[in-house]
Amino acid sequence: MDYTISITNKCNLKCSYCYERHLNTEYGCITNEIKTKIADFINSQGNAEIIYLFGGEPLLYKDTVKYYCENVKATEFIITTNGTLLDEEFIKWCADRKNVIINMSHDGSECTERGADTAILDANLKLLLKYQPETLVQLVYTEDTLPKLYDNIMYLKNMGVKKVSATMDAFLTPSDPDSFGDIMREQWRKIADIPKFFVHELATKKNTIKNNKPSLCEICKKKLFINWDGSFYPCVQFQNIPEYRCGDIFVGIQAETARKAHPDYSMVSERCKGCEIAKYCRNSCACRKMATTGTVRDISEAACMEEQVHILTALEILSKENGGMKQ
Amino acid sequence: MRKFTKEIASLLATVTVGLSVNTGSAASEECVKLEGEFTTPDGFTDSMPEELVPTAGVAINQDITNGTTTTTAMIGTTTATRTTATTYGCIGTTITTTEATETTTTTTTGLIGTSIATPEEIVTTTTEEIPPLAGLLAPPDGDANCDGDTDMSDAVLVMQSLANPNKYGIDGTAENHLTVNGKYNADMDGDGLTVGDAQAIQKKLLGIE
Repeated sequence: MDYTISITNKCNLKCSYCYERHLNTEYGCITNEIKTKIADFINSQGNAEIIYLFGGEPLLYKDTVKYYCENVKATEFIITTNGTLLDEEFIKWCADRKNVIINMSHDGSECTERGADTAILDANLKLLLKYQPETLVQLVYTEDTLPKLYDNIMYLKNMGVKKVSATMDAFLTPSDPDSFGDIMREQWRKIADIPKFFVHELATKKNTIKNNKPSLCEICKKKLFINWDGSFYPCVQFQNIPEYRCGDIFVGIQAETARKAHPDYSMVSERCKGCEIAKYCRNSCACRKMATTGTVRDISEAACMEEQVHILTALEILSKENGGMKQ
Repeated sequence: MRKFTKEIASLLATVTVGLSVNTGSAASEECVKLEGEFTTPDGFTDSMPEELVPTAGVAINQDITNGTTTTTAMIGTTTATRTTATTYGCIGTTITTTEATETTTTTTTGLIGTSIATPEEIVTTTTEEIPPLAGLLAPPDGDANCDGDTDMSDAVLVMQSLANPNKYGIDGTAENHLTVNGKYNADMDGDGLTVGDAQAIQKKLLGIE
């Protein structure tokens, strides 16, 4: 089981595309009482593989982050941070522990969508790369920055980044879907040609195509999101939605009601029924549906376009790897 | 049709994807780490592992649970490969129990629908229960009125929704009409809601198989 602990939903940045702003949640952070109870709960389950330390911005409470890394038994800890609060002491501390990984957000040459000073982010990223050369950088692109997606990824590559995850703004509604699709296609085609560079979305898609196995997800079976107030939800996008609440640190996991009430959780949406490429697509993911449309019954047009482009690009890569087109 | 499905279909028709025992293509033989699990292709000798780094907040959702090597030949092609045949049905359809075989198989797969597998050599055969595409959902338990319990009121609601759909069906006028979720819960045999489901609920309550 993987656990995502939301240390806080407060943040020192105001990224335009952040889901927290759209979830309209009450802002808070883990209290001391909740902190120990969460650790006790996870340890009592005895099944933690990866612990994601999340937010908001988790490094607003570095001590709490360190507490979990030291007191919870898990295979790995992954901290997702906007990078602005990184310092050498903390990075070194994480590196010394061997099983603590920092994923940092950085959108490339212009970080105006985040309200962040690019120079500070660049400096902190370089510092992080010094101790963690395989850092995965998480980039979010909007409709405005999509035409520069390749350039922004190259910007990161030229700084020494080897691994990137490029995610589309979940709320994106393109003004011209056709043109949007063409631009996305062109950008991802160029990205696929970057040599010796890991792009999470393409690697995952190649894997999906090769394994030919649809992704499956059930409420609170393999993942659990623990909110800063100690309540449980299936995933990030369901925090504070009462009908998806699945217990808390006091009563434990209680997911049956949510499972029964939402048999459509991992269903393909209406628009996907009969789609020839549905088995390679991740748009039955409940989190993704919720993020893009606010419901688990539908997926956005932009998300559909994104998946088409990813599948097509991954197929082209596989075609080249297999020596070109073969009958 | 979606914007790129034609291009995708064209590529799928001509590209042989997946792992082949005989190709020796290093790039296609990859160890992937996804959220702590490893999948190692058979016949793997040496290649640079491509590691899938776990992320959070990225709506990616993959469960690769078994070290299964799967090769799928796309439409119009034949491939002699090691194959595990897997079939998924959408929710509401019959769940298929498929035989997973380790075999050298020539497979021709239709892009939509049919699949014809001609085993040339069968080594071992196991039976694998395939979950529905919609995910590892709890099977229907008869709770037609979604009150958390299965009792006679559920059987009654099923009958009411069938006898008087205007009032008790999914868009019915009654306050306690059947809902989409309730219909799923009540469809005990997966063939759509029928009087047989009301009977099945009652049998369940009586403890009769």
